[in-house]
Amino acid sequence: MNTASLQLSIRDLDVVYESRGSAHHALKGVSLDVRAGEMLALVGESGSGKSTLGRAILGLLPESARIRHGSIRVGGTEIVGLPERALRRIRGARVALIPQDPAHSLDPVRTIGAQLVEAVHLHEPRGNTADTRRMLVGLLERVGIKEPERRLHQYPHELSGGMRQRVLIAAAIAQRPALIVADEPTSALDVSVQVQIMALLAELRHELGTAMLFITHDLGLASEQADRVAVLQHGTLCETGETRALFANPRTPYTRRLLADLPLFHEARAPRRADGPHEDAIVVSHLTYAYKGAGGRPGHKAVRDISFNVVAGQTHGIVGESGSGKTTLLRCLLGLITPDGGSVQILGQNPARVEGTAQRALRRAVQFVYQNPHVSFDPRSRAADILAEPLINAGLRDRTARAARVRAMLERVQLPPAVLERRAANMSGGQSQRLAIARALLCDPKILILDEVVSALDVSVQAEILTLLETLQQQLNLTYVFVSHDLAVVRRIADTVSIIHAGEQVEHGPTETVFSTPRDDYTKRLLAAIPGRDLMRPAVLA
Amino acid sequence: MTRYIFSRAVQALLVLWGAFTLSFVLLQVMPGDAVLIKFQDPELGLSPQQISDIRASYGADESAFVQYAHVLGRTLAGQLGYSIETGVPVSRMLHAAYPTTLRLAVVSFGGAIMLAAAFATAALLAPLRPLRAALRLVPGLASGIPVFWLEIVAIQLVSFHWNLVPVVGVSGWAAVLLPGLALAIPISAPLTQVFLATAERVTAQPFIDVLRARGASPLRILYAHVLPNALPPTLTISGLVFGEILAGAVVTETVFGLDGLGQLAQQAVANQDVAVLQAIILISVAGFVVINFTVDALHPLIDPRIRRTQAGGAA
Repeated sequence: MNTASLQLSIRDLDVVYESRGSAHHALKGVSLDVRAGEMLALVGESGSGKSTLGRAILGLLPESARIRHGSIRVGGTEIVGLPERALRRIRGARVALIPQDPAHSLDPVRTIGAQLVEAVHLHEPRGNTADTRRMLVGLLERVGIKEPERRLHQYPHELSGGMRQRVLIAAAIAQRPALIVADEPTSALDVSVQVQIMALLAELRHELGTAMLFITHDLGLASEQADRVAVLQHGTLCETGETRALFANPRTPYTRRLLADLPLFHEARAPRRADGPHEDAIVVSHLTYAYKGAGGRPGHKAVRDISFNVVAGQTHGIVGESGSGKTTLLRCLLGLITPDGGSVQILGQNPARVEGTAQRALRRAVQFVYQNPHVSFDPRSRAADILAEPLINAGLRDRTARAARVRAMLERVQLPPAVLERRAANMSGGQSQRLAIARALLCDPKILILDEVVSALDVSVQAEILTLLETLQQQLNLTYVFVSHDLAVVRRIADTVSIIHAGEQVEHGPTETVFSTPRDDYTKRLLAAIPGRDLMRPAVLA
Repeated sequence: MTRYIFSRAVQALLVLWGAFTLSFVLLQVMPGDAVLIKFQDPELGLSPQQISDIRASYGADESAFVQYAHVLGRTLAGQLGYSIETGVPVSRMLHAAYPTTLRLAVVSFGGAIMLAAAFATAALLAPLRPLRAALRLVPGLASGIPVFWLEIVAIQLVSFHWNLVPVVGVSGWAAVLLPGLALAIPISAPLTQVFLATAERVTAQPFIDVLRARGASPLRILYAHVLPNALPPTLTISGLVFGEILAGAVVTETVFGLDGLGQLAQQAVANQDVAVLQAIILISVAGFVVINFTVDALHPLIDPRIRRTQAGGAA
């Protein structure tokens, strides 16, 4: 190995978080190397320590963290033990960060130009603003931003998510750093934008010879992008290797399980034909909804001419990127807004028209589970109260009867009874999503509307929740509407699928047919953008 | 934008009218009136008949409604009337008193802002976490200190004991220096509290981490990024604390013996000098409305996201 080209070299790094006597061992003797022009993907689930490692490289560990021993060398300079002043000269100049969430990673009250000029002048204090702006125009062009002069005068909220991430990439490469730490740089972006951003990062890496540490939870993306992969589990590096070799032949059980849990590795759902007569739980025909524009004029049409039906006991997947009209469609299904055209029939009723007792009955029969349960629960309420609420609303006054139903439901969603005393804020993502499902089921629903319910979860937890949903569907004959941006997940769980693009239903049909023989260009593009599709079972994708 | 300013101006006039009316009603329901207070003194030896004649000449025996109509009409015509106590035109009394109060307000408000800025910087950037936590408790304590006590202590220590600032026989800006700074302490407390709370939320946002990762120093991040982002709520509060300055002026001018609007108000209340009191109320409310309008107008200059919605709303 040519050590001269080593841009990042970590040896035996040990980091502990200490607070009020308790200590959390976040990194346990981690060693890794990244060479110039190389991308190392650091994969791991939440709590694995991958973000801690990224922060340690930037010298940005929180005050409660302590490096017990070990060394971090960036381009030959030892970072550990360096005083703050010296670290500041290295940050941004020798090692740069591409952050996770472009929406909140730019200062909202300052122009793009002002922020980029600042980024440059932090390291070139004698820089001339006019010269810097001229240089920035070229740099923005390089990262694929059109009309760069105009963008310099704009504020972050005037740019799309993909464009903001390009601006952040421009800021990161402005000083030609030896190493870039990219911390989940595309997890907040749509798949089609993700493809473009990852392609840009690959180009820049080869052009500038920058070493890149790519922190991700997405094994599919890592398999496609990285030269080498390092798998982190509970602060220990459990496997490092050349990407192709590692995915073809994982050595440790943990890596094997991570791969097995990838939705990509599951067969597409086999078509289920309802035997004999079947009934439709949901019928949507020619649904159109437009938001009212200024002065009551008809405004932006959020959804146009959408039609599908869902057989009772089956799952319909709805796939669309941000702004596609998914949310509007769901609001129509829930009867929260009245469609401008077409009709919605839920269990034979129009949700926007029913009133009184029938409305209450329908609302109980159609339950909604939200993407991020941490937001939809009162963080201070206990799980027991969260679960008792729907029963109290249904008029079940007897405490012992309530407790019995809650216990039975916990068993169904495979949560231990000890959870009941916990507060919502202290639960893991998987636990709170099980709790949300349990609360929905306590209303005895016929239909569950599941809005991105597994998007925020680690793959292993995601796999568990998907299996749970399948089991519950069989046991209780539930009908699901499953909204997701993740095609691999939809392919695993849905019987039929609608692809929505800019308010229009570009494709609709049995999942297997849509995935194996897509007709629409947009669907084809989406399928091609699935990260790690090479890993997919070959029988399914041609 | 013109429509926005017009609607705000109408709102301001309604607020002025409401304050005028409310103060009139409150002064009416108080027992007695200024004429009674002045002429009922037994030493003057006036008979009840004479007193009621004097009352009639001042219009004090009219029904409340007639008096209200009269006073409102007179005020709308720009006439503030005469002090019942001294017979001097109210406008002349205000003219003599307002410079002191204006200077007091400028010194205390400016002092409060500087105090808040210095304190917030220390509380955010102090080296150790326990020290930062301790500093954060101070504004809450400071807002609990009674103004009059603080001012008496200030006179005793700063002026009499240490001989730093004279408070006797001075005029102009020198006269309001010590009282203004003393009043600045309780005024700065809510500003600091709101700024610190907002700054904490801003600091938790990802873009602050991104700036640190670019090599920006904590001080630079605080002044170039946290400050403009955390300013709007603090600005709103600074408009509201203007009311506290006015209330504080009554106490401060009495303690320091300054002849400003505050002392005038205090005497007018004691003598139920309705015309003087109502003029002071009108001036205070007008000042309060103008300051808060200015504060609202500043928000879009700080936050470009508000600029867009307002432009859309006015179109």
